[in-house]
Amino acid sequence: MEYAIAIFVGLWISAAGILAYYRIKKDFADTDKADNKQNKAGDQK
Amino acid sequence: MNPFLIGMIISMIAYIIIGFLIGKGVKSTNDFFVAGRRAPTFLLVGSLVASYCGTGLYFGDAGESFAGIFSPLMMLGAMLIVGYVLGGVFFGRFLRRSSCNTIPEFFGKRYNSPALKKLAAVTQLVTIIVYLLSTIQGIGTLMALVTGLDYKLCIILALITFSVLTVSSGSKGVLITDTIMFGLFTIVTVVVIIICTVKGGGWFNIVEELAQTKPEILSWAGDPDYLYPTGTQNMIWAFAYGIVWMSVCMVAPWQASRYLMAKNEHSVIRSSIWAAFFVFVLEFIVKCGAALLNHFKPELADQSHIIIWASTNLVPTALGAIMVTGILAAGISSATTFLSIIGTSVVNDFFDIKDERKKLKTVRLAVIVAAIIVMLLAYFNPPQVFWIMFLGATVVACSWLPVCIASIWSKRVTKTGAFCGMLFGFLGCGGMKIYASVAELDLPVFLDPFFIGLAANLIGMIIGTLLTKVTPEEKKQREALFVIPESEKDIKEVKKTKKTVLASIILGAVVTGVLLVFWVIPYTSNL
Repeated sequence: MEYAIAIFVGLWISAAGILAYYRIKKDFADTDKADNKQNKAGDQK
Repeated sequence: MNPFLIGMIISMIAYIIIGFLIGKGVKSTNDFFVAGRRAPTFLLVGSLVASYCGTGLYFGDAGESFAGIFSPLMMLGAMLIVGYVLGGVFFGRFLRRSSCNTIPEFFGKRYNSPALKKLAAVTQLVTIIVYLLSTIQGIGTLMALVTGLDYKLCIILALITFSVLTVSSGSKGVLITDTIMFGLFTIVTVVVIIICTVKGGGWFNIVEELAQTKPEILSWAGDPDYLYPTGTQNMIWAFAYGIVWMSVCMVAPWQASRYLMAKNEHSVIRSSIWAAFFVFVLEFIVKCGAALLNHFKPELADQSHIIIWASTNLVPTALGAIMVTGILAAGISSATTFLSIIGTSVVNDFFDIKDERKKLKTVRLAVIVAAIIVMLLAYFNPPQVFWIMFLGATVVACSWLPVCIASIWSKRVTKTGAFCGMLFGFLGCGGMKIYASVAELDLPVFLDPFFIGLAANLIGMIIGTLLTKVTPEEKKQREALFVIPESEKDIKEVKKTKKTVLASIILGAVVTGVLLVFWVIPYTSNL
């Protein structure tokens, strides 16, 4: 049961991290697109 | 002269001097209320951790871990750091985006409801006063224990220190002194616990010994009949209070209000992830360390004094004095945060003063009056640090958490729903706590005031929402929260923030690893 507690809390924290990461990724999707366009333009030059 | 008293006096004088120096730069209510909204990540981290870690951790949590419920408290301690991870991303940055001075003001603006603003301010005031009472009792106990001075005199001395600090420098001073104190108590706590365990034969040897001689101390179930008679009930309690304390870290006024001072939203998010890491470090070291101190079998009048006993008996005097000063710092840093919030809220949420100088005078007066009220409460009531702290936290979880989440993420919850939810949650939780206390009841775990208050909140929110409609103003305010300012779209900053948030996923694995390596494996393999 001690093992279960240690694994459960780790999963709990990582799950929150995943939620948070995907929210931030979604909110800044436009910024990412603009950055990718700039990088592509730079590569082509 | 007592070296612990010398250390405490020197530190208190130093904090007062720092407060006065910073106070010279406080020219406006913007500086006093929200530190000019220029706080960088590291100051926010310092204040988040210092405002969370107080005498409750070093007395209450340590004492209970030493006495027999380490495992439930450790599970709770690891669960709660999720509050920071979620708080920064799902609540805190929107709070900052609102440009409000207080969280009650944010509720009032979001729902176009002066009544909700006032209710939030009242619940905030009650919760903070309760929590501040617990902190002052902890500080008084600490000072009286190590210096031999009268407990009531110690309360007065501590009160003068943090009142002067808060009155002179407001949020700006609180942020800076919080960060200094965070550095002090974090480093010295890690050093002292390591030295204590080395003195006992080494961390792993102590864990192995306790597995054989006192297995209940580190067992998943905890010591039966200490809290609840079965491990399952202890775990249910731990899970419920893991949610309670997660709520505190996510939305409690003394935590989320730090984000109002951030220089930008990236600082909000990054500071929340770093705070999660440091709070886990302290939770683990203090709680597991306290449990391991069972190796020394100290004779204690009160188990909550275990860390103080270790600081005054197991380590060199100078280091013990620094540790005691560090615990004092943990208490003072929390108390200054509470007082600055009270002062700011009284002026911002209850009055409508236009003149800047009059506002500053009033906020300082409010801080002094609040300090005197809490001093009188502490003076005439015996210390109950752990349980009063838990009362304050539970009230926050029951009255604020659902409303905070709904204020950002729900298109449907109306101002009436938010108001009813907050009110019912507050009364449900508070009412149940008072009833259980007056009737001297030992409630079964599923009737814990947390469950009652949370259910009452949700019922109130649903009923209030069903009976009313969202107004165009409420809709407009919510939509405005989702417009990301152009200044936040700097590509470098966005990439850095994403990396920091990604690290929180890895933090889960780190936490599991630490618990397995330092507790579970050495414990279970020696049963």
